[in-house]
Amino acid sequence: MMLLIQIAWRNVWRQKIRSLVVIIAVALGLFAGVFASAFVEGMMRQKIDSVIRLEMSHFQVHRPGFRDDMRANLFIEDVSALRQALKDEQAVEGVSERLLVMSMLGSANATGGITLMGVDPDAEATVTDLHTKVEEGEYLPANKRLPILISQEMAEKYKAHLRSKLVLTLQDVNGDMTAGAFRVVGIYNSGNNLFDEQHAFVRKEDLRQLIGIPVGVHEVAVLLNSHELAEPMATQFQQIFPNLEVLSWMDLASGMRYLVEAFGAYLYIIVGIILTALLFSIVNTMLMAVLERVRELGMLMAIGMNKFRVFGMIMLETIFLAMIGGPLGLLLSWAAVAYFGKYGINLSGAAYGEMGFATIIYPYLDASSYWNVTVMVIVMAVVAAIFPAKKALSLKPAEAIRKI
Amino acid sequence: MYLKLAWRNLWRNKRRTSITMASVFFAVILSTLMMSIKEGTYVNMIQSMVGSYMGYAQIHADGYWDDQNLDNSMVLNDTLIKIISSDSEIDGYVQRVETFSLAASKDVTKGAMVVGIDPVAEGKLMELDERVVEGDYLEAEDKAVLLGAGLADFLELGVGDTIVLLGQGFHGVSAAGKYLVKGLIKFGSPELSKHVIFLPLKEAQWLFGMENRCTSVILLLRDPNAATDVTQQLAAHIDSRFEVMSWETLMPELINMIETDRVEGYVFMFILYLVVSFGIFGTVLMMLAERRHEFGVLVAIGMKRVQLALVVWIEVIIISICGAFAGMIGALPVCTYFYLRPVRFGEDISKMVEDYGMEAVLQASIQPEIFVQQALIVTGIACFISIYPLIKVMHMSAIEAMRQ
Amino acid sequence: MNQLVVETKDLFKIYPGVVDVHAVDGVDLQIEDNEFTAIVGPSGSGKTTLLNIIGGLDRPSAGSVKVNGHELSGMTDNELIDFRLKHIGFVFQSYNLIPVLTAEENTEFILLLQGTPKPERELRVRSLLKEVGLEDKLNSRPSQLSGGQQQRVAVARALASKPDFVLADEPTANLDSKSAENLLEIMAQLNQEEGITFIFSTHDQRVIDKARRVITLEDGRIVSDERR
Repeated sequence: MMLLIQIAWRNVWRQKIRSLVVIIAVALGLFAGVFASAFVEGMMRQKIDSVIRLEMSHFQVHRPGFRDDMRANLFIEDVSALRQALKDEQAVEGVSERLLVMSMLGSANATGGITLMGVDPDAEATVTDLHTKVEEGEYLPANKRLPILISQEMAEKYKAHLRSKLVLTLQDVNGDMTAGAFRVVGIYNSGNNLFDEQHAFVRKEDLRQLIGIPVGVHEVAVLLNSHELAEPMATQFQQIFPNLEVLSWMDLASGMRYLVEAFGAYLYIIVGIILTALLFSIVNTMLMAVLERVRELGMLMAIGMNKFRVFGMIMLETIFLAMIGGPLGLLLSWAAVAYFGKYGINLSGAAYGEMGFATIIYPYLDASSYWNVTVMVIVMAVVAAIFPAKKALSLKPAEAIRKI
Repeated sequence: MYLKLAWRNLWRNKRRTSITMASVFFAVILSTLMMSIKEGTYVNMIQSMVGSYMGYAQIHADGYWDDQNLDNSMVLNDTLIKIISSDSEIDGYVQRVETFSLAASKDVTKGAMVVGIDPVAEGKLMELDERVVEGDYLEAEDKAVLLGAGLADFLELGVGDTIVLLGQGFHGVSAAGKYLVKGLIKFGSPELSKHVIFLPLKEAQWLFGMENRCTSVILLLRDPNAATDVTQQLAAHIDSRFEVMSWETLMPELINMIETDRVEGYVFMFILYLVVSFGIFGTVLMMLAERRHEFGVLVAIGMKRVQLALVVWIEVIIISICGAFAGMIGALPVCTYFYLRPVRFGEDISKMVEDYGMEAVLQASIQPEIFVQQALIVTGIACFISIYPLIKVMHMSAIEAMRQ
Repeated sequence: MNQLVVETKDLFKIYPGVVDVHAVDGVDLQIEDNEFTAIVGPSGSGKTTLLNIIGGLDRPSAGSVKVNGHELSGMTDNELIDFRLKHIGFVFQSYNLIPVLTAEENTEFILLLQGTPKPERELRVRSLLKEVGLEDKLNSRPSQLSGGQQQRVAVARALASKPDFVLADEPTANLDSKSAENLLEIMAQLNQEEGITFIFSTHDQRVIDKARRVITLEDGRIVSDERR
């Protein structure tokens, strides 16, 4: 056995061209697989992070039926039990109780429909990042009268700026139309255009008066200290409060669940395709190497090296090659992911912002994925060598030796 | 003669040639399928988001698009009509009055886009009549509306019910009207269906106090892909009181989304081809090493190096082109199938896609450019790969080569 | 009487075709222990095929071939390989050695394949290489040795497993006259002093001259069998 290893190892260095080709092919394949995965994964993470930190939090509680049409009268009356339960739960980092209503926004220039969020600024800040995204003015100061925080998109569309007056028309809890005039105190930009176009923020108390709900809220948003807990917590709370609707972020954002679950499959497909391309290269290269060594292999079999050993020798050579190319590719791709992971790949020209993806992608790959791809590549390289190695066995020593 | 030599040389080693061609085939068929589906989806997206409603080009009063306000309306005068009608690239036009208003049923109110249309023209050119799913289509003199199906759901209205429209008209006049719901209408994009109400043009003009005026003129183009050119030409002939815009200007985010997605596709293709190209390169390298002796002999007996180089180059080209060709032929039936019979997505994906305003189908495109592009890429790669072997051949010494 | 090292009876090798080619056309051959025998014949005489069969590298179409009493014609590929390992030593015209192993390693290769323990191996290899006069080239790789030296290593290796006989296929063909002489000397010495059986296939007159028995083949049949 040691003999085979020794011979295989030395053979690797003897056939420089062949070895270099396979090593680079493996390294390249690995690089491609890892980088592509990291890119897509980085995008996913950012999207998930953004969805959770800006829009959905980890889970939300509503009265059943509220989410369909956002009728003002479908609010949660008694929040105290929920509030207590959340307080007792260690994993909870922040809770925001909100009033929400679909409203018409009118300025001198335009009118349009938006979602108006009535929040308690301090509580809200524990749950979302919005307060960090205010570009002009302030978040929702306590000392101003009827303040409203709008997005830059809205500011442009309605030709509003700080201190503009905006009229918000909505249907109150009784079904009557009512309106309120708010002053713009801040303009935010979250980077997610879809979100920005739709959401404006006012103080909960101000909205309460307008809608006519003395006590109760439409929505309770909860932020936890870890993404993984979202699903189990949501299920848990749903069981505790069967009369309310408790949904995790995956179910709140349409298609998120699918996206997240499909993501894994998507990655495997990408890597699978790259691996297949790699397969061709290696099979071909090893095949040529074997056929080139007809004389040598024939001689080995003539003097008594049995088929199993010959097969083993060729497989060992491939394994060595893969073991060299593997780490090489791993190093390269790790460096690339680390570099771009820090500085980001700038896709500003592109419209990712429109779709809710960030415009700078930070590729990311967790350690286990590196391993997975590496193992897959090495296994594939070795599998690729099986056919050529078998071919070697069907050589007839007599013929092989006679080939001049 | 060279061709013959090259061809026969390739088939000396059937297995190697076949495997190499297979790898090219693999890359090409995948890339072609991917690009075909992407392009098909883009066309579909454009059609459902632009073609069915917004139109490929629009004329407005100068400045209307940035400040969308009934006060910025225009009059479709005879001069304009003449210019439009005489342009061969324009198949037809329709006028619209578009503004945001409140729509109210007995219990529910919602903001919606009210669109005054010429029913006959819209029916003929935009096929609006084909989108009616319940009730009847409008006629020019009707005092009735067509409701978007999603909107009707929200307002809890059906055919035969009454709807109230409230809003602001031209120069600030109050607009209020009660109308019969004559029919329900559905667009490929559910977003559209949730926000739109159609009114006959005359009625809309009366409602908003703007006789003879309209907010936009939608142009139907003979060739949607020529939108930019046509609008540019038109702009040159039209009074500066008006602005002409192609859909690309009207919906830049759509273009961006498409471009980004396209770039993503190219990136993946690049990675794939990278891996495959290296495989081919490796094959060529080893082929060279194997045939050193033979080349030496050829040059010794009098073949010019240039001629030998040519033969080698042709061999590489043949392998690549044949593989590419096979790939294209393989992809064609699949693309054609999805072109003629687009496939609907499963439920989850459908919902997500529709939320973005797109139709949830998988559609392919059979534009020849897609296929030709692959052929060009492969040829380019083949030529690039050949550089090294050609250099080697040109610098070969016959005696060295024959020294085994 | 000495045990028969090689015995063939009614040996045939026929290649089917438009016209069947009788490469070996009914050969009855007996080779005894200690022989120093050359098999000669023009190209196409069947000598190559015959030697391949005797060496267990090829199978006969009909007839029997026995090496030291073992019948080869029914053995499977793997059985043949194993047999060759233990019973037959080979010296080919060229490409004898494993390029990546040193002279010492090449020689001990067969012993390693057989699982011989290290001290025994080392001893044998060193003594073999000494016998062929290459004790100072133990660590040289084939590329560092001359043609003649390479062939000598091949001989050492062929002897490593104490084979029943050594099959030498044109061993001197690629050598200059001095090296060829040298090699032959060594083989002759081994034959006389150690009693090793050598069977040559050759065109080289020098080899033929040195041989004690010359078997001539023509059209697949033995046409003369000269003992000296």
